[in-house]
Amino acid sequence: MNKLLWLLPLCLSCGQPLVASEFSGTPVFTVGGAVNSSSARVPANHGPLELSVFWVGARAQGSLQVEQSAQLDSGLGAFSMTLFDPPSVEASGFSDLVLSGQLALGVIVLYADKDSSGGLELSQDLLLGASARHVVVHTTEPISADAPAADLVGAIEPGYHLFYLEGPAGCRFVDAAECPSEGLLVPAPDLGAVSLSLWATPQEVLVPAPGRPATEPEGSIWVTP
Amino acid sequence: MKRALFAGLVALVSTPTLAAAGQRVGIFVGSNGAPSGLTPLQHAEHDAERMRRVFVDLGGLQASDAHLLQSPSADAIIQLIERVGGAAKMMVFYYSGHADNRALLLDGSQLSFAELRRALDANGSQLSLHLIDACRSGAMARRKGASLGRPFELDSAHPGEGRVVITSSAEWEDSHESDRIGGSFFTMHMATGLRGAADGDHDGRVTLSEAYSYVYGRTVETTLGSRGGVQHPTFAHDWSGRGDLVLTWPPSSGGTISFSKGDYVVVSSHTGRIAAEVTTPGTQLSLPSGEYRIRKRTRSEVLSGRVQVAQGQNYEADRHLVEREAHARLVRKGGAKSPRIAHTARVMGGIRGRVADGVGTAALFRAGYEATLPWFSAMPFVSVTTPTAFDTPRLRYRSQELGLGVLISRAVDLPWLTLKGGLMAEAMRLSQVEVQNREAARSTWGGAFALHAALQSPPFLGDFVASVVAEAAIYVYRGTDADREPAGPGEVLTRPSYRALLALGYEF
Repeated sequence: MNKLLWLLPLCLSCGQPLVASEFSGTPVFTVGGAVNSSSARVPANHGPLELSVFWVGARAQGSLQVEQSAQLDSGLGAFSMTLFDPPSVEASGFSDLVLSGQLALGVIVLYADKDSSGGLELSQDLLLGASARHVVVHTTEPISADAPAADLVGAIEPGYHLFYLEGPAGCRFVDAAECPSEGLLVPAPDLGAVSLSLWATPQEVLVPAPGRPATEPEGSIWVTP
Repeated sequence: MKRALFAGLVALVSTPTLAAAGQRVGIFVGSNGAPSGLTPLQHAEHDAERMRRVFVDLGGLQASDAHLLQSPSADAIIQLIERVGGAAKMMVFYYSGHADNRALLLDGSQLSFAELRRALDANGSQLSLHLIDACRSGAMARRKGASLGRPFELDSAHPGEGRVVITSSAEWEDSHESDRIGGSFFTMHMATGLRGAADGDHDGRVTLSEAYSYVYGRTVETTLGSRGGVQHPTFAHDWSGRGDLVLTWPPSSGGTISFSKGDYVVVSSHTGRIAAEVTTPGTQLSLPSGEYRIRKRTRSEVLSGRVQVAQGQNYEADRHLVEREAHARLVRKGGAKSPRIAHTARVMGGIRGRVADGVGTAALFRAGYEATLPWFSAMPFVSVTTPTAFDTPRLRYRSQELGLGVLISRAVDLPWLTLKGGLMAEAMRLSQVEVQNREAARSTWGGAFALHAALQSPPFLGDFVASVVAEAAIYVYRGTDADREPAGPGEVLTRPSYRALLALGYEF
């Protein structure tokens, strides 16, 4: 019996801890920052507030379904969003920019999921805000310097990355498909310094519109070639 | 080799006849005392008395012709040999005590084999049977070794001439006595054989060849695993005769007990000593009138009962076995004649209660081997639970437990049931597998300590027992607590749980 007791601390240091029912998974990417809500009017009975990455490629394929949503339950002063999975194949829409694999670009949006569908439906839900300058980037393969995407995000390794737009953001989400290029993306030095702006109406919500390489005349990533 | 020669001797001779009484004398010597350096014996003098009783009851010796010497000097033995037997057709000389390979080591004196043989040779009886139960007594048979005698017709008037020597061990071997059987192995088996267990052809007579075959086999068998080493009884003779010498007529005295298949021990209620051990089916044992306790051992239990043996009556042992006790109960009861250990293979199945969020209620199966000792039982075991599912906000897991542990328990034997209580320690592998492959599988080592309580049935269907088991357990493992950090590095958690099981055991 005593020998078993001596073995116990050793045993307990082996393996991985078991998880409980609140466990959502192993985080693979976490971003956070401040919520700029000076002009926002969040209606009462808005339903759960969903913080999501809206993948640009999904819109290009005619879908508004967002992925990677997480409920915002820590108030509107600051936010933190954790991603547990890579984006689906449907979320990537820039195959012409990479030599292999999938490249996905997305913006962080906050909306009231009024129909509790778990997705963003502009006709049903209420879009409240978005990251005006930051773009979430995910690639499944390394992007080499000679790939077209390198003109947008540089040479990067597989996984999640956070970039931001150096120029001023003036692209409205509802008209994003017609937004011209607003400049180049640069790596964000701080994953915790994302500014999430809330707006009075969905029509006012601004999103970043970095230039899409290899388009003539030069358009933004929201433009379908 | 000696056994082979003996078998040859028996094969050459024809079936004998021999009158019973009045023509035999006997000297039965027992000496518990020991010379310096040797441990005194406990049962040698009783063995001499036991053997004398056998020959008086069944071997044709009148009580007045059966002389018992206890702790005698060498001179006393020689004087008695010279005094008796001159006109007898057969003389039995039995000795139980210490010896080396040259002499009988008596209490305060020694009697060399050479001098003993000279005295016995000069005794004048036609046939001399020497039964020597002593260490290295095989040296007593060394002089002549085994040889075939000249055939002659053996009948009541002419039992043959010469000498037959049977010793309890070979020249280089020790002989042993046992507190468990209350005597020496050799004498115990010789007496049992002469009382009928050696009567292989069931003709109501135990012959010299039957007695030797029986005592050889049983002595070797029962001393094979003894700490003192195996004993090989030896046989030698320079006997001329035809036929086989009848030593006893079992049915002629007292009553008889018949035995079926099984291992029996017959204990005299009067003396408390083992009267016989029987392992051969069909044996008929002739015993003096009196009460005996019979115990029959099967693989998982001991049946016992009492029989009052009356003159001329025959009893079937099994009909008197009215009490039954599982081996485990006998082990716990203790005592010199109880088994030291009982074995049980046990399987269990039931429910393990919820341990924590993520380790939910599951079916639990356990298999183990239980060794029951007088003061406690120990059961090492393996256990496994069925997978149980649980969902997180975006994941679906199945958790499972695989354990290896030991249960230490004590039992209280009630009239029918057995109540057990104990402590259990178990090391276990706890695992969680995400069924959608969105997360890597997790596993960690943990432990559980439990209070164990069980209620066990008496044996049924022969060797099976059933139990109802309840356990209160504390699990110790590394995990994440749902009330705190759901995805943290984990911490050592202690969580209570319970197990409710049904067990089926097979005693062997």
